[in-house]
Amino acid sequence: MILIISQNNEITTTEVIKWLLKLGKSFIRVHEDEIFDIKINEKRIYIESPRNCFFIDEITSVWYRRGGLKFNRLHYKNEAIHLNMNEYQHWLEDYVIKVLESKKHINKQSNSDINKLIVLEEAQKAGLDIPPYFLADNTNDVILKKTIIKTIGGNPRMEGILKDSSGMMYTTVIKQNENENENFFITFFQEKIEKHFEIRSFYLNGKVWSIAIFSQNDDQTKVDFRKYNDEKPNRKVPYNLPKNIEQKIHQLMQSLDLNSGSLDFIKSDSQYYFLEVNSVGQFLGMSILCNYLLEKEIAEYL
Amino acid sequence: MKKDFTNKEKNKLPLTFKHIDIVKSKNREKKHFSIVIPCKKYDTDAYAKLNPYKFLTRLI
Repeated sequence: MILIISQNNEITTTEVIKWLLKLGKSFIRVHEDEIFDIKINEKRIYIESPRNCFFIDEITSVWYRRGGLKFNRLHYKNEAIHLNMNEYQHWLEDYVIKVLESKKHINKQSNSDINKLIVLEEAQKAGLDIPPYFLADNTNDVILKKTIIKTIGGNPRMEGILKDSSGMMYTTVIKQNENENENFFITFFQEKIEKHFEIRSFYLNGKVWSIAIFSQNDDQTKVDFRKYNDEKPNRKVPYNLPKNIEQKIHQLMQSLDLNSGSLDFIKSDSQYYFLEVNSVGQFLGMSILCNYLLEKEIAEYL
Repeated sequence: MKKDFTNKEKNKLPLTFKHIDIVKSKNREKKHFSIVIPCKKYDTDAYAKLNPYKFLTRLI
């Protein structure tokens, strides 16, 4: 039995499930809002939510896509008992998650949130080129128009920042210095690389599939291709990264203990600059455009 | 539309908050609202019943 930890409206999960059904593999799909109780039956642990109920020893492989297994925590009136039982319940939940993660898996709930700064350090250790970067709370060392800023948080989107509107923190080029006397909160600065095109790669267990995105000729997309131009979309074509770059990707992913993820690169002259990795990134678009059948690859592995 | 949020908070914010692009909330969800249905087979409440994801000419 395959366990898929995902979200109710996650489209890629549904596409992988289509392949699982085609391959005759049975699965359990867990949504982001499910709360499980941990129970015992004849010395076997099973977990139960209003939608699902299964023994953890029945699970043969796990795909951690998004969301996560969440458990119901009991509360106790006595503060000391509550603190003690809170920890007790934590270890039981931890055991269930660790046992599931010890099975054949694609990514893990426990390390899916990755630190962008650590990733950059690990990428350098793996021998990948990265645009020079620094953290600062002023713009004294910034070379105007040749430096970008971006968030180090996982989600650039802030839902409901204004009434009926959300905010997006796209990569932005710094064009003017800030007031010298007023510092701001620590910000991530990086050298702006003049790109020929961008590359998005999908990694799964040592294999790499890539797509080139020609975003540099469109003013709307040239700094951040996620500012999609729906009327005239960027041209995208299948692409093969050099073998040595693919080997370095493999090394990086091993050091991050990820066996799947989406990686962003930019190509400038003959150099490939690594930007970031997203363990739960969207790859369906690339799979469809390039006929990579990545959903099938995942279904076959599980 | 860009908006600066750095002067609206008492505490300091990273410079990225000075260049926030304002976009409509849940835009995508609203766009697809009428074309998703619950689907037991794929165990989701948000199965897209329209929009074949590959052009027919590519399937021929």
